[in-house]
Amino acid sequence: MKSMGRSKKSFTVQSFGTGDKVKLPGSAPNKPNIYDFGTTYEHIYRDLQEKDRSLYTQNGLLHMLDRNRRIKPGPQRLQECSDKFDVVISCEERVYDQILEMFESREPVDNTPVHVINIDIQDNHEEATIGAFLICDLCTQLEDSQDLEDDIDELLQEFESKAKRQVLHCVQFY
Amino acid sequence: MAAMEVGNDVQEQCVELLNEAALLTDDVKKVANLKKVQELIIHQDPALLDNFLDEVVAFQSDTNAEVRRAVLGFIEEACRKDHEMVPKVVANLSLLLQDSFSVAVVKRTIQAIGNIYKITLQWLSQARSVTDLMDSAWSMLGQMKRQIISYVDHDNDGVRTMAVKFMEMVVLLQTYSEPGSLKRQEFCLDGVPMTLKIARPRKLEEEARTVFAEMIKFHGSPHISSVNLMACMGSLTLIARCRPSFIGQVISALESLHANLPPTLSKSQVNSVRKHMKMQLLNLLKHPASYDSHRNICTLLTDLGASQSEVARAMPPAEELRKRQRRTEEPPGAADDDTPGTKRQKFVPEDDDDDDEEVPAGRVASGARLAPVDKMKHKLNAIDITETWAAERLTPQLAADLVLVSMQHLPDAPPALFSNTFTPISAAGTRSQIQHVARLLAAQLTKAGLGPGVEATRNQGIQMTDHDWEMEDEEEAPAGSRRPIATVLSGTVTGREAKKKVALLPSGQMHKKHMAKPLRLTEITRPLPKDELEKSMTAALDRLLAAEKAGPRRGTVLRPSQTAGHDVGPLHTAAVGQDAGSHSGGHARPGRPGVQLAVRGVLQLGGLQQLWPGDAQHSQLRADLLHAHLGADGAARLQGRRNPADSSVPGGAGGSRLGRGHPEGVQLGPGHLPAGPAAVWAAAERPARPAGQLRAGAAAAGHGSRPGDPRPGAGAGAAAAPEQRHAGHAGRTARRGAAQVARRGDAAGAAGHRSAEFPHLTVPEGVTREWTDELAKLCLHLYLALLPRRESLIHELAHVYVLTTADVKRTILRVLEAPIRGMGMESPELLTLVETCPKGAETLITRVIHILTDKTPPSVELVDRVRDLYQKRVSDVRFLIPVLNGLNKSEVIAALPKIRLNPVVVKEVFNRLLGIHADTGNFSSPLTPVELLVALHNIDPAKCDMKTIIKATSLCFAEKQVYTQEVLAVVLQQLMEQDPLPVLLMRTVIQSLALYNRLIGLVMNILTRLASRQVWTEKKVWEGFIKCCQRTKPSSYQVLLQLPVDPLREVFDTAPELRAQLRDYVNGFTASQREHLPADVFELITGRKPGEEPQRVSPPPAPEPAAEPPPRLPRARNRKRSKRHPPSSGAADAPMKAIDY
Repeated sequence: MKSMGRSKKSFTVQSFGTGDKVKLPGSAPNKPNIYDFGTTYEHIYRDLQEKDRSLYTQNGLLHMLDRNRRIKPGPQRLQECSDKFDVVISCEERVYDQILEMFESREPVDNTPVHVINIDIQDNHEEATIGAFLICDLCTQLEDSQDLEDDIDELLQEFESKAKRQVLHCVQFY
Repeated sequence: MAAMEVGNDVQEQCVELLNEAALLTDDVKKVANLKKVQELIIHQDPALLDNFLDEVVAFQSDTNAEVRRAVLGFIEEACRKDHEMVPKVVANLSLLLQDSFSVAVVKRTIQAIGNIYKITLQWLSQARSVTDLMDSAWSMLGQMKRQIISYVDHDNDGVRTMAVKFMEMVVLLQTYSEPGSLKRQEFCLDGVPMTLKIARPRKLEEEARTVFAEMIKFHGSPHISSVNLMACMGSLTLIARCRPSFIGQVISALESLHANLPPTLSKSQVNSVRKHMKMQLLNLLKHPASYDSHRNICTLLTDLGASQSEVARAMPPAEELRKRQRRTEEPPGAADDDTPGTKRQKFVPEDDDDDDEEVPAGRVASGARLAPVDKMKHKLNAIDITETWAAERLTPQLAADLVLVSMQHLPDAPPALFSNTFTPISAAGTRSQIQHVARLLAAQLTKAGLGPGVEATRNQGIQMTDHDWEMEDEEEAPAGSRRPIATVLSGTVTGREAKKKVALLPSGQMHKKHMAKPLRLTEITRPLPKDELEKSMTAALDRLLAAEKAGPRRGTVLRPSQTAGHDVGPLHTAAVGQDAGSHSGGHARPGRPGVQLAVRGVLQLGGLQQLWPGDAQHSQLRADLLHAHLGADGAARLQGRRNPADSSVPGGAGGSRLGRGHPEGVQLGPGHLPAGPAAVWAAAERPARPAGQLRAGAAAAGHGSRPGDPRPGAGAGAAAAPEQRHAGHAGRTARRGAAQVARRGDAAGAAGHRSAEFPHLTVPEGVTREWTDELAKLCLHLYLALLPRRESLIHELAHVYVLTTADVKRTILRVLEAPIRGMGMESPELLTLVETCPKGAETLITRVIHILTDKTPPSVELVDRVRDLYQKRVSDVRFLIPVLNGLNKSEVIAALPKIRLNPVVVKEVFNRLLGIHADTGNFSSPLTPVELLVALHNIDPAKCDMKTIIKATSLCFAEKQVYTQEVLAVVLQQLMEQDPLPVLLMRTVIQSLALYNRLIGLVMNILTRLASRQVWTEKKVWEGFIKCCQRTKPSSYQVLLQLPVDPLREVFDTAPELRAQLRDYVNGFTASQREHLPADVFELITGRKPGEEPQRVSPPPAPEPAAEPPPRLPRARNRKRSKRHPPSSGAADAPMKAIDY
């Protein structure tokens, strides 16, 4: 769901959604809460609080929204962002596909390379925590590299074998 | 008035910011300031551009790469804003493109040049007249363009990626837009007027096609990295979408890529690449112009695992397809002529309005440029031709044959990748599926250089080589001006020179008083003429040597030497050094002051080293001197000291030359040995440029020591340990070099290999020496030391191995043991190596497996890989030998006939199978000794030379501890029961008997059994049988008597002496005993009828009559140790009697 350009431990990072809508878990798997991009976290927070305060406190959603609303006003959509990143990381293959599709549909203007990386992370708290560390780890390595373009292949392979996860990677251009 | 104020304000701000930036030490702030200036100038007051360009550009000599990149951003924006800026900055770009400090800057430069190149062409096309300035700028950009294109072979992945993007830009810029193009509002060849002399559209287009061919070539190269591959794929598709005439070629390229993915990709990289390819193909599918290739695209997509709905979604709407179809049904000529024409008409009013007179010319061009397109079509259609050819022949019969033939190459279990990606063929047997299979086959065949398509294209092949570049150069010169013109001053010069281009100097150079800009002597000096060079060289050396005699006054001489370094010019110093170096081998000794001076001279040169980043000869002589005359530690320290300021590459070069220049140099003294490690430590201590440093150090370590000395390796390792990344650098250095050798091929021979590990050291011609054992070991030293730490390096070793000479191969094999042991059997890289055994490296692999399995049983994985390799790729039985223990019984037995190598190998095999030298504890063999010997007997003589089998069995017999009497008895027993009888049976029987006399009982049993099995019908065994009887007499008499008369006659024919002996034996029989003998046999033996008395009675040897005659046929029982033999005449009364042992 999220794609990022560098994570928060002293990285410059932004997180994005790539879908058409902002979808958050609801009272049942088939009843997600759906909002448009452009809705503020504040609004979502209030909305959920009204709907079922205890449920959303329990599953940590309110906590997350609370944290998010202090960071930025609302969810952003990658497709609508004009910033340029060095690295975009996604945590689901579907999202990776959407990112690639987005880049493919654009016309490269100045050919600045951007590395798109996918690490599959299941959407639950435990996996997300492990995933966060993994990604942080990877980002540190990428950041430390003196020549990212030249090292990334090797870094990713090392990461793969260390994290025992398959990584998808490709290079796109702004 | 207000505008003026704003202008002044901006100007002041800029001045302030720039001044601040010049003094700032914080690079981040500096960049921020520059960005602000850029913003102010470009967006607020472009008029100031002219004023400040120099000031900003002057920052290009800043030591920080980010600052230089910011400058590039500024240059790019400036050119975009004002085309007149281009000539002012091209020289700067050219300098930045050479940036040896930072790859990032080079990449950024390529990016900037891409844009500026486009802008410049646009500017040229729109300008009313072309000035000299423009001409110079354009030709300089042309040079840079060629350089960048050559960067697709650059060492750095990122640079290659950028080069690919640059090429994409060139192709898109230098071709005409087409009706089906993506709507790119960009400038392209359409806007270039025909009359533009310095950039002829036809030439530009031709160049674009050459560049495109280069891209296709790069795209298909087997060593391409995954990032490059995906970038290249993306570029090709973009080109195809923007220039539909390329679609066909792009799709064939993708097809051939799909069929032959680079072997170097890891599993997840393969996934990424396939995904990327799928995405690209879907994009192509969306493009209406791809209609003709829809079939190919769809089959490819299905292969890549795209679902029907995905494909359907990407298909353009049916209506558009129909339109497209109609268009293609029109006569092709009409369509071809039509489309460009309409396009041009549409275009002309937009852009060319001030070039109205050019339009007719443009039309002519559109007709003329059809030719190259056709040519290209032929070239790329090899796959199509082969496809039709294959499709015609692809009958069910042939398909079945193909499947059967390839069946044996299939592995037992499908590989993971296959099961991941396999999609059942839904439309098997249909026309389209046959076509698809044909296409796949065609792609493979074409890749392998087979098939009619390849033939056809070869015949009409168009050479797209360097001469296209040359042609372009020629064209650039105005026609007729190439005739030599005599001038008063300088004799004859060519027209091109006579035209005297405007020399474009880099901007921002005059303001460098307050900037620390590295001195670039190459820009201001010119090489001395050769004779002058030599003269000054000798003179300088003479002075130095003379000064040496002067002894105490050396301090004064030092100064001239220094001056030489600074004033006379680097070449002069080089000359000094060179001569000194050549003398050094002969008579100079460490510590001699004069020579030390020479050394210093050379070291002075070190400061200027960056001028010749690739000048290996130069660094070699320096290092020669260093190592010959200074303590090695000192040398290393000097190297180390210089390195931080110096460019890393030459530093490394120097370091590595330290011990390598002369192999004999290594023997100079123990003092030299620590040089390598010392350099490494020096490198590790310098945080400034760890990568380069360590590379240098590693190079030194690799070469600066005596083979067998563990220190450099340990040093390298130790230094690398704290920072894992460093090991990466060292490793990569080694690897990259190896890859380069592989690419360069054997032609480079010794020189190539020497630079194998250190590609930045181009070994000058004439310096190459014979490859000696010593030298090879030296070169391999670091590599091998690093192997256990960085196992992936092993793959390059295999490539290098394939390419080197036999001598080096032997050396490699010899030194391999320790590192391979260090890696161990579980190393995934080793397993991969075994799996992907490159052609020609079989011996290496065998050696590796041998080392791994020596004294320990092979692991399951290893066995699996080896079995795979053996079954699928290289049926070389040598692979199997080391892992025999891991194979199952039937496999071993199947492999046995193929092991017909020298006895040593066979011995080794048996040792392994029988566990003779293995640690008995965990030894387990698939074959018991009995099974082995039996298997040997059962080898089909047609498959294997009988002599070899005999030798092999003898080897078994020699192992008396294994083949004991009991074991042999079992073997014989088993052999006996076979039908037909093994040819070697009797030989083995005789041998066993020779070894163990006590087997006689069993042997008799066997002989009896054989007699009852009509052994005489099998010629070989029969011969053996007779021999055996000869040897086992008198015990064998019993057996002989059981033979019918005809075979017995044969026995007597072969061995006449038996007759007399047997006669004596029979004569000793009692009458009742004789009765049991058939009459004809009796007659044959004794020569008389059964009733007659013998003429001569010989006393029978102690007859021991048997109480009751046993049944006729002996029961073949396996009683091994019988005490009651020989069954002498005692049993003679019953020839049919069982021999009861």
